[in-house]
Amino acid sequence: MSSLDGQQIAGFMRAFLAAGSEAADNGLRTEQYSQALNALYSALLEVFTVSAHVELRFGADVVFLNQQKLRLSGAAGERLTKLLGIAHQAQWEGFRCDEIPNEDQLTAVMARFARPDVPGTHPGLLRRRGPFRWLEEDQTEDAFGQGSSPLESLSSQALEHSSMRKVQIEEIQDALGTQAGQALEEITFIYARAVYFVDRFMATMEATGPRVPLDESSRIICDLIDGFERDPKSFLAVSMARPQAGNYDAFHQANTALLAIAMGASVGLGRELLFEIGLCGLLHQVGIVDMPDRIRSNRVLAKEEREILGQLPYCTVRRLLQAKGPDLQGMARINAILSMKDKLATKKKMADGNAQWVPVKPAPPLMARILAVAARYDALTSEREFRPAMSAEKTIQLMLRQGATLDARLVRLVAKLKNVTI
Amino acid sequence: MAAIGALPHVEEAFQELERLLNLRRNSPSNEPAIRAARNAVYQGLANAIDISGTLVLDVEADSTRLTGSALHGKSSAVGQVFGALFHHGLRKIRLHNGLTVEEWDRFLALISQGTELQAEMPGGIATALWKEPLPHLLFDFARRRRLLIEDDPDEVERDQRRVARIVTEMVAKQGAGHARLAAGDLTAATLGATSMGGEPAIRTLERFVATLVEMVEADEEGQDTEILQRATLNVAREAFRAGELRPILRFFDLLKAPAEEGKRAQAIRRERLATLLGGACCDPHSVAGFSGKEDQYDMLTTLLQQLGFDAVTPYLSLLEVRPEPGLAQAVAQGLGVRLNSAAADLRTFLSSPATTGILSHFLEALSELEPSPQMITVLEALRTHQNLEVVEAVADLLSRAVSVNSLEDARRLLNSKDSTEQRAGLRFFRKAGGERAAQTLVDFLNGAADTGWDRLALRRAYACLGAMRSHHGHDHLKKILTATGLTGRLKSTAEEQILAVRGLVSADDRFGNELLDAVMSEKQYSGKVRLALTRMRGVKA
Repeated sequence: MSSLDGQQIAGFMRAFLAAGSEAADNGLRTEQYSQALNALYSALLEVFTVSAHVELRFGADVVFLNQQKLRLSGAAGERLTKLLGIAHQAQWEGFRCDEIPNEDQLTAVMARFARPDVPGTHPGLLRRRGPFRWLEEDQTEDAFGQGSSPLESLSSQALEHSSMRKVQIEEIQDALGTQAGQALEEITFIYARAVYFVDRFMATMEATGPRVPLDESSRIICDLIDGFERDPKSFLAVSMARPQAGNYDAFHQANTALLAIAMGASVGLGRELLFEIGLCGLLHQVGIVDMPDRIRSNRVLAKEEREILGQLPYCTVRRLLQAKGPDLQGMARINAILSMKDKLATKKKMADGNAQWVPVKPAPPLMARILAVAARYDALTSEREFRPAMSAEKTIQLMLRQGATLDARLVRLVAKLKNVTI
Repeated sequence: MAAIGALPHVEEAFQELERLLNLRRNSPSNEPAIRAARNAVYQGLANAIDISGTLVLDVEADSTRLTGSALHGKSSAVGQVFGALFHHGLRKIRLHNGLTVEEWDRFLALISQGTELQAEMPGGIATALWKEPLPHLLFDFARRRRLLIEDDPDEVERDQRRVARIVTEMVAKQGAGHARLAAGDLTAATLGATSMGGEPAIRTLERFVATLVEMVEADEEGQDTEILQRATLNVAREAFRAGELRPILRFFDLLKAPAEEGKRAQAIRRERLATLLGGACCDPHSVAGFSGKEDQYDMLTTLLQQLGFDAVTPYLSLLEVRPEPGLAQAVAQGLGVRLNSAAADLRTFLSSPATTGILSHFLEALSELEPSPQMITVLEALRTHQNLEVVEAVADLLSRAVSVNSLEDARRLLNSKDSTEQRAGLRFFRKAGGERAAQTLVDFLNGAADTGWDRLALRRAYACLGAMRSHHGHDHLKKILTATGLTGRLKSTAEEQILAVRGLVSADDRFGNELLDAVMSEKQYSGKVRLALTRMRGVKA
C-alpha cells in the first residue's frame, strides 16, 4: 500500500483543523463550516486514492494519520491542541474508515467536536457515522450495536489458549492417521468462516433486509471444495462438528453444505456441480429470517405453524432471487432447494389390491435428493432446544424408513461416509 | 535470477497481448492477425516459463509486475483487463511449466468476459477461474477481511478464530477416526441423473417456470413483482442460450391461462409478465445467443407468431449470424405479415452478403404474405438476382400483389409476358378451382405453343392444373400420357409427358398415382420421363 506524501498529509490536516475548529467554535450551521467540511471531504477522498483507509489517532499532543506521526507548531499546533483536548474530554481516541463515506457521515464524525458531551456510543451517532469506527471501541462489539450474536455467547465458552487448540489438532491428526495437520487447520478455518458468515449475514438480513451475499458465499464454497480435494478425511472430520442450541441455523447450513459436497464427490460429481450443491447447502434455509419468531423459537409446532414453515423454501427462493437474477445454474439451485421435500415415490393401489410404491416422474433433481439427505441427517443429529440430538445409527435407521422423500441409496451413502453400521 | 532472464520474454508477451486486445476490439474479423498475436503472446510466455520454470505475476492496482517490473500501463487495454481482475481480488497468477496454448486461450476468454461473468455467476470471475480446469495456471485471490461492508475486519477475524476454536473443540469431542470416504459403484448415472449429475437445461427451465407461476399465484399483493420480472427476463435469456424454446412457450401458456375468479390484480400481473416475456424474447442480445437446432424451428415459428413488431429486427439479424435454410424458413413463417411494415430492415437483410444463401428459403416461406407497397419496392430489386430460385420466389411473392377479380381477368393475365402476372393468374385458377376454371386453363394450355411461355412457366401451369383436382384437368393430363396414334405409340412428346407427370404429382390423388406407377413400369415411357418423375417424387418426399 502506498504511503501519503507530504502535500497530501498537509492538505488533509489543514482541512481537518479548519473544519474541526469551526465546528468547535461556531457549531455546524455556519457557512464557513460548510466550506471547511467540503474541503475536508475532498482531502479525505485524496487520501483514499492513495490508501484504502483513513485512520486518525489522537495522541496527547500529536496525531497519527495512517500511522504517520504529525506534530504541528504555531497557529496550527494551537488549533490541534484544542481539538485534541476536546477529543480527550469526549474520551475519543480517533477514528478509522475503510470505505469511502458520504459527506453526511463525515459531518456526523466532525460533530463530535461541536458536541463532546454526546458519547461515541450514542445510537443516533452510530447510525449516522456510516463506515467510520471509533478507535476506542470494544472490538468485540457487534458492528450494528445490536448486542451479541448467538455465536458470541457460544464463543465465551471457547478455549482461549491457542496452544490448547494446537494440541487438539494434533490429537485429531494422530487419530486420523493422516499428515493432515495443516489441511485440518485450514479446513477448520474455512468451516469457521462459513459458519460465522452465515450467522453474520442472516443476523444482518433480519435487521435491515439486505441481499444474500452470493459472491462471498461462492468464495467460501470454492475454499471448502479445495479443502475437500486436499484432504477429504479432514474435511469429513470437520463436518462432524455438531451445533449447540442457540446457533443452529448457521451450523446447520454449513454442515449441510459440507456433507452434500462429500456426498456429491462420492458419487463422482465434477467441480461445477459440487460448487452448486455446496452453495445450495450453505444457503438452503436463509429464508428462515422471514419466518415469524414463533416459528423460529425451536419448539414443537402446531399444524398451522407447520404450514407456515412449509413456505420456508419459497422465502429462501425469494431471498436468492433478490440477490441476483439467476442464470441457468442459479435456476437449478432454486429448483433444488424447492424440490428438497418433493416426494420420490407415491403409494398406488395395484390391481391385486396391494399398495405399492411407484416412483414419481420426473424424479427430483439429484442435487435436491443429495441436499435433502444431507440436511435431514444434520437436522436429526443436531441438538435442538426442544429435543436432544439423535445418534447417527438411529438417524440412519429412521431415514431409511423415509423412502418416500429420501433416496435410500443416498442415505446408505451417508452411513458409509459417517462409518455407521446399518 | 531466472525470473530476470524471463522478463524480456514476458514484456514482449504483454506487448503482444496489448496488440491482441486492441485487435479484438477494433478488428474482430481480422482472424489471421488475431491468431498471430495470440500465438506471439503464448510463445513469449512459454519462452519465459522455459527459463524460469514458474512465472509469478503480481497483479496490482496500477500494473501487473514480474519481479517488481511493471508489464503494462494502467490505462492500456491490458491494464483495464488486469485492473478489473485486481478489483475482483486477483493478486497473483502462477504460470507453470506445461502451460498449453488452449489453457492460455481459455484464461484470456474468461477474463475478457469478466464483467458479464460478474453479472451472472456468483463470485464472478473468481468462481469462473476456479471452476475452469486450468492445471498450469494457479490464481491467488485476496481474502476479504470483512464479510459485509459494515463489518470491522479485525472483529471479523477475531470472531472467526473464536468459531474455529469452537469447531476444533467439537471435532475433538466427537473422537476421531470415524470419517472415511465412501466407496462403491454409486454414481450420478446410477442415481438417475445425467453423467455430469445435472439436469438437462430444458427440465431446469421448465421447473423454474413452474416455480415462477406458482409465485405469481401466491403473490397476493404484488410484493414479488420486481424479482418475478427479473426472473422472467432471465428465463428468456437462458432459454435462448440453451437453445430450448419450449419453456418460453409453456411460460406464455401459463401466464395467459385465465386467473382465478375475483383475482383481477393477479390477472393484470400475469398479463404484464407475459408482455415482459414477449419483450425479453425480442432482446437483441438474447436472440443473438439463440443456439437452438432444427428441432426448435417449429417452436421458433410459434413463438414469433406471439411476439410483436419488435421481433423483426433481432430475428433478421440472427439470420445474418446464422444463415441456415431451416432457420430462415422458421423466422419467415413466424414474422409473416409484420415484414410488410419493416421495409428498411428487410432491405438490409436481403442485401446482406451473409444471407445470400438463404434468401430463396426465406422468401418461399412467406407463402401467406401479400406484400405491401413498401415491400414490393424492396422485392423489385431482387427480380434480377443472380440466384434463379430467389427470382422465382420474388416473382411468386410479387404476384400476390396483383389484383385478380374474375376468371376472365385471370385468363387475360395468362397471356401476359410478365411472369409475375402469369403467376397471379395461375394462383387465381388454383384458388378458384372447379371444372369451369379447369376447362379454361386446359384450353389455354392446348394453345400454349402460341403464347411464348417458357418451360418454367409451363411447369407451374401444369402443377396448377393438377392441384385443382378437376375432371377436366385429369382428363387432359391422362390424355397426354395415354393417347396413342395408329401405330400404337404415344402421341405426346417426352417434354409434354413430363409436364403431365408434374401435374399428376401435384394432384397427388389415387387416380394420378396409379397412372404415375404405370409411367414408371411401362416401357412406352422414355427413361427421361421416368427420371423426371423420380426426381419430382424425391423432391416431394
